[in-house]
Amino acid sequence: MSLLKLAWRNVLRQRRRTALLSLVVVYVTVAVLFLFGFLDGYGESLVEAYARYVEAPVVVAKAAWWEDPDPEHGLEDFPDLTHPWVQAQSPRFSQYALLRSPYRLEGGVFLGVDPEGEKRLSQVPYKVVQGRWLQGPGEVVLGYRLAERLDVRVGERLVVETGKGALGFRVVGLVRAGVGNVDFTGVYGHLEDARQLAGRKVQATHLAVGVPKGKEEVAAKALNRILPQDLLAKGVWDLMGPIRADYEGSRLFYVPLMGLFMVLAAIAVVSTTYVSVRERLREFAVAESLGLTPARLAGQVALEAALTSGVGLVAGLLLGYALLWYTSTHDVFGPLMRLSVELLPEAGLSEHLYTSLRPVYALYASALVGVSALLALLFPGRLVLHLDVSRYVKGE
Amino acid sequence: MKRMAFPLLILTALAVAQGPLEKLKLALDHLRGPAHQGVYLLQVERPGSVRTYRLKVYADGDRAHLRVLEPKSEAGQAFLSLGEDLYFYDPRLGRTLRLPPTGRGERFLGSDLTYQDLLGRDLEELFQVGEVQGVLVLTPKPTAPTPYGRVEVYLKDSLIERILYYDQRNQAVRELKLSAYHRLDGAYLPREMELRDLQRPGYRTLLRIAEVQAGPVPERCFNPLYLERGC
Amino acid sequence: MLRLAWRNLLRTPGRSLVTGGVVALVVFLSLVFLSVYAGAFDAFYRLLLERTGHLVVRVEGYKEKEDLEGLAFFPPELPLPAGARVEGVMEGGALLIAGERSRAVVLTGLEAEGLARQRSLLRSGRLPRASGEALLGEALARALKVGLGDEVVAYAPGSLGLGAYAFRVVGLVDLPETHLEARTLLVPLKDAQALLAPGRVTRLEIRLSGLGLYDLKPLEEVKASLSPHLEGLWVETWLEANPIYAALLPLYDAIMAVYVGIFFVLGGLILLNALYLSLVERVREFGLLAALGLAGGRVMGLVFWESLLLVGVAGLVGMGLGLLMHLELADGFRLPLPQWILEQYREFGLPEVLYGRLGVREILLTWAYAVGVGILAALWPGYLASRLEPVEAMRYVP
Repeated sequence: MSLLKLAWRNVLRQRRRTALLSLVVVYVTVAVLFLFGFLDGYGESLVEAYARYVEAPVVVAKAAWWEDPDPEHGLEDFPDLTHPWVQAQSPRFSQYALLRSPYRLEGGVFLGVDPEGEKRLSQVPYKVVQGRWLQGPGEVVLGYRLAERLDVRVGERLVVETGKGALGFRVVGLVRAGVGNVDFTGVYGHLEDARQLAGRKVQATHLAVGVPKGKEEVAAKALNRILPQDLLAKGVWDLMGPIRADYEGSRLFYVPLMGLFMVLAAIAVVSTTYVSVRERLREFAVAESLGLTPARLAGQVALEAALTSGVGLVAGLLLGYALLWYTSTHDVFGPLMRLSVELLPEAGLSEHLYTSLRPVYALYASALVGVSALLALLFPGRLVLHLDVSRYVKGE
Repeated sequence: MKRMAFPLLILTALAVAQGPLEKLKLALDHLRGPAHQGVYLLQVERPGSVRTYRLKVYADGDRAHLRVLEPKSEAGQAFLSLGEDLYFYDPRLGRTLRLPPTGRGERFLGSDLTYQDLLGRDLEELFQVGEVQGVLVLTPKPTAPTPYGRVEVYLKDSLIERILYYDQRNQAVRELKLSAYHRLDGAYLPREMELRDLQRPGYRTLLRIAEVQAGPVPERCFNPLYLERGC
Repeated sequence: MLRLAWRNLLRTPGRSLVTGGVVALVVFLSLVFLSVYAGAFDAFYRLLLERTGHLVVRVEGYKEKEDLEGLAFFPPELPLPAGARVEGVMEGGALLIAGERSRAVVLTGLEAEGLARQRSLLRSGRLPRASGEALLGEALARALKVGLGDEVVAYAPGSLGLGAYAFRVVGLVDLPETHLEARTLLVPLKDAQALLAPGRVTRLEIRLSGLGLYDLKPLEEVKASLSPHLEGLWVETWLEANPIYAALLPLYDAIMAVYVGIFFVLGGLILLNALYLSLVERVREFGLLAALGLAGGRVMGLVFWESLLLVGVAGLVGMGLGLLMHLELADGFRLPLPQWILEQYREFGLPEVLYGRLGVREILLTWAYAVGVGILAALWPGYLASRLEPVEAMRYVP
């Protein structure tokens, strides 16, 4: 009988024990799966928010503009961005302005865009809840919370002033993107109007560039190699604000914690294996006297530990992935996220958070099996390695 | 901009033949009056308080220089409007500043009158003029930077009697009444201007001409460098 | 019974130690976790309190009012308890102009004490000492391209005062939140009043001394004593003035309980396993005990005692270590994260140095969890033990 079958049979012999132990393993597996799913979901929501709403997957601008985002450092002409990864590009013109409704006055950033070009790059044009997206100059689209603050409605006029000029715009639409920055501070107008307001010869302040998902950083690097010296491309992760630190910090904090959880679960597995081995020392002694080497016996112990934890792992994966599937399609964290957006409207948070669902989590969780096997070699395995065969065979 | 001096009868006759825009232009010319200097009294009424300023004014129809004479605590402040540009000087500030374009919509000395009301020709520049039963109805031009939805100008013999400002929700928010037009050097000047904030009861501003003297104004009065010391 | 339980535990020192170790670790981690999180939470709220003051007096219905005229008032004389300080603040929107560039800012006029409080935020230059001097947020200075010694002009439309004022930048402040910093202009109160509304303030901030961070009762008392003197004005506690933060406060307890619960469930499941194994190893003994007359209920009790004893001792150890750790944390600590992350966290109002807090409530929560887990984990093994058939049990062969 192969070692594996033998080990498996031993595991099955103690059903209750294995079942109880599996509770631990299931719990930890689900926790690991869920945590990674949550963290990745958080990261994805940030990337989605910044790449498709607040900024763009890659942004190209003058190095001077990154330091001092003023139209003074805008682009007079557009660089050539031919590269297999560039899927779309659209110029944008951002400048600080005063927003004046008949009732309120507020400072903000006026973003001049190419209405059609934006549709290929950004999700904002598809999130208009009242009215419509921009079609031409003289129009403006606002985040719905900003419109509330300014007390201005669709069809009414908003005056936008910079130090160089003032223009009245008709509010043609309100957006509700579910992303704080857009809803609370978004002002979108036509590129032509932005140029007029700035009163300078620049064509745009930066270029939004669309690249395949997941390739933002490498695309930015690739573009930097072909762009002239004074221009710099940045990928979405570099465009995020301080919220990135929260994401990275969370990973740094919680991943080791999950590691600890796994070690503790492994300890429980090994503990059970230990008892099981102790109970069957005589069997092992007999096996050894029949010719099986201690090393192979220790190996069997490790295998048993692996299988024991494996049972729990499989159950945990099923349960964990089911949970992740649910939370990846239902906005369970909605209320919490909405509160966060209210607290930090300019952080780039979204109103929804869906967990990620990736096969690689199974790999992370299965480390538990590996650790269990390893610990089993070290502790119960040792019992078997140092077995005094004669003592047991004699029937003590 | 040309200012024509017509006797009242010919004026009225011409008014019948003019289009709305011409009527408005003419009426605004009459509002600003000829080149003159004088003393104006600005009375700012609020519920429970009244503030009165005494101003020295130099104007030539397009440009205007105003200085605060009284009360003593605010004396020395001076304002200069040169069409597009608006400058002001304050002795406490110690220097002359140019106000950004946003400044024109702001209240003059905290009253209900804006710089625009006193000095500008926004009505002509930012609005399209139509006429409905003798009343000039102004609607904003497409990209005009104005908060109003509609302005109604009531004329009496080509002189503006009343201007009613509506917000974009069809509510009247300000009412400007002009009266006691004074014939001066071939042109007209309203001696009394009353502005009521229709949204806040008890808020009212009165501007009355105390003394006036027609005649050319020295060019240096319209130079920002002279805001500090006056002319 | 207790001694029996104790002896049983000692008979498998390895496993008892390991299980006890796990429980102790869970208790320790829970306490450290609670201390750290409370430290972070307190830091947020302390910042809020520092900025707001304990009580804020504003015009009645200020949330609906927009214009300065409606919001500014002449500060009345208020009867305050000993040790309380009141500061007037005049705050209004203004356009800050520097050469070609301009920004909409919030101009805040503070009394000398208020300005002195900005000292810790000062990154360069000094605090304003005389009229005409101002502090700018660093981000604002960058946006306007001005530095120390440069001049900026504040233009405040709709004001009841001068309407415009020139300031010399004497200091730059670094506020946690950059977007706030880009809108911040701090000047002496008299200047703000001259600019916006002479003699008036938009709020009065009252600060009391000797109060803990969450001591709200004394605030309510002062509120009540002030109310009769406030005609047309409202007084609010700092939490009432910041409703979103107030909403978070009760959530915190719930979230902490869930977090700690997650730790303890793991500990409990491991304990359950250990108790079960212990039962399995001593089935024959339990059978013997049963044969000797120990009733099912008492056998169950034995298991419970073992569990509680283990949890008790381990819990004490964990708690001791946890408290020691907390004492370290209470002295001040930095989250064990890279420096760049800590700096970014400042953007959310989290200072780099935090102070751990552990109250009676948190310790009781942890104990409750420990005891609860100890009891729950013993339920199943205890039940099994009580149902043992003595004869079969005595003959049990694994």
